[in-house]
Amino acid sequence: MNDSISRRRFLSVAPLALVGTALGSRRVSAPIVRMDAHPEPRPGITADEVMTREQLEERAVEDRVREIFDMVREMPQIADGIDCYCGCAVRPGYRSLLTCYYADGMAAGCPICQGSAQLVHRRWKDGQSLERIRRAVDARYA
Amino acid sequence: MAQFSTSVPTFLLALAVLLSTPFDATGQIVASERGRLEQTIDGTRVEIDYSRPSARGRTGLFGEVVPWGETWTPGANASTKLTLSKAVELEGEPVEPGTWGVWIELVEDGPWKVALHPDTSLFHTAHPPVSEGAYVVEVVPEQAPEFVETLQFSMPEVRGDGATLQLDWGRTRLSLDIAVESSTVLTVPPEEGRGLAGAWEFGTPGEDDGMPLTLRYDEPTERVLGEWTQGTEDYPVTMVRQAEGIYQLGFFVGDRIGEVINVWYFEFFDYQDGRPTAFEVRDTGDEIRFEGRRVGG
Repeated sequence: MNDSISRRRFLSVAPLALVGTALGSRRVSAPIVRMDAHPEPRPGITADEVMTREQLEERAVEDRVREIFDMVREMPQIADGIDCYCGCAVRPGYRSLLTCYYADGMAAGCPICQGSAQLVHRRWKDGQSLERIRRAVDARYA
Repeated sequence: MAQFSTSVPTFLLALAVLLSTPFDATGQIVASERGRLEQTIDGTRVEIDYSRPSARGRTGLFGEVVPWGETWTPGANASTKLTLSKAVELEGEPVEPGTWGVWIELVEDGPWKVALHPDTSLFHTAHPPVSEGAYVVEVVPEQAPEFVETLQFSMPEVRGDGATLQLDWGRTRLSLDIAVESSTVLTVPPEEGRGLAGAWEFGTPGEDDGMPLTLRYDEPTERVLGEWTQGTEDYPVTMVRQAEGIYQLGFFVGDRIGEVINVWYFEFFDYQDGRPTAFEVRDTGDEIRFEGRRVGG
């Protein structure tokens, strides 16, 4: 390997990563690193309570968001082990990223829930462990 | 009545003249035009609102136009104002947020005394003693490399943890260090930090463009420091922890943290004996942009 990547190039391409990102922007750096906030997935958890396609259609939820609900339905055991950093966990009935996709459909209008689910789904499909997925979520949303 | 009737034409003429004359001074050249400098530093907004006098051929500005020993506002007309949205340290002195009048006692042979005055309504002729300032710091002026015609505040250096506020007029320069409360956490738990130490190489997947990155754990500061070698130059860097094993790359300005590349995540993995042997650099869309591997140490 040679040294053909310059610092200037590195810095110049960095902003491109901001364009078209599915995860949205975030602050300059994370002052608080949360390492142990993630819930343990409930044994035998299913996606039965996640809003259905029909329910989402009734609410005229856009296709892009419906696809994210599809992703969550594929991996309830993972999504239930991820803390959602949108702040919903303090509300009654919420405990994990999975519950953000339950019947009240809060995730349909929450970019943090949506971005987290896309990140988690991508990494789950890549075969990453729950622990590594949690760290990736922490790094971006904590 | 006769007096009134004869004065009507005069009145109308005067009114016409008045209406044809611009009341607004914005279209005229005003001495020492007002200027403003505004800069956000890691969430802290710093603003300087000041009038900007010009030298206008006057060569002896300090000591002549502004006499030694005078308490002068660095500007003209109304006093210069410094607004801070959060607490900062000015030359190491803690300063509360708010708006402050800026005054400087000019000392011929010694540091100048910069005072932040709570009364921001003073005119430049007020000359309040610096002892009345809520905060007073001493700064040694220096010679500017070039003559600056119009008094100017600037921030030639903005870092992750502060900035240099610079005042230039004529051949004189005054530099003030402003430190803000930084949101960047630079410390790394020892066991994790030691695990990153070693020689690494990273580049674009599938391309022959790798570059060396050497990391070490600095025990006294609990920071992961290193050098990113590009050609014949080494750039000092620090790894800014975002989560366990996930970092962003920080660059230095001098010995202070400069910029943190917040769109890249260095994600270490493939641990052997508790130490990672590889990393990926992912962007904010979670796409892998670079891959790295341990090559030594």
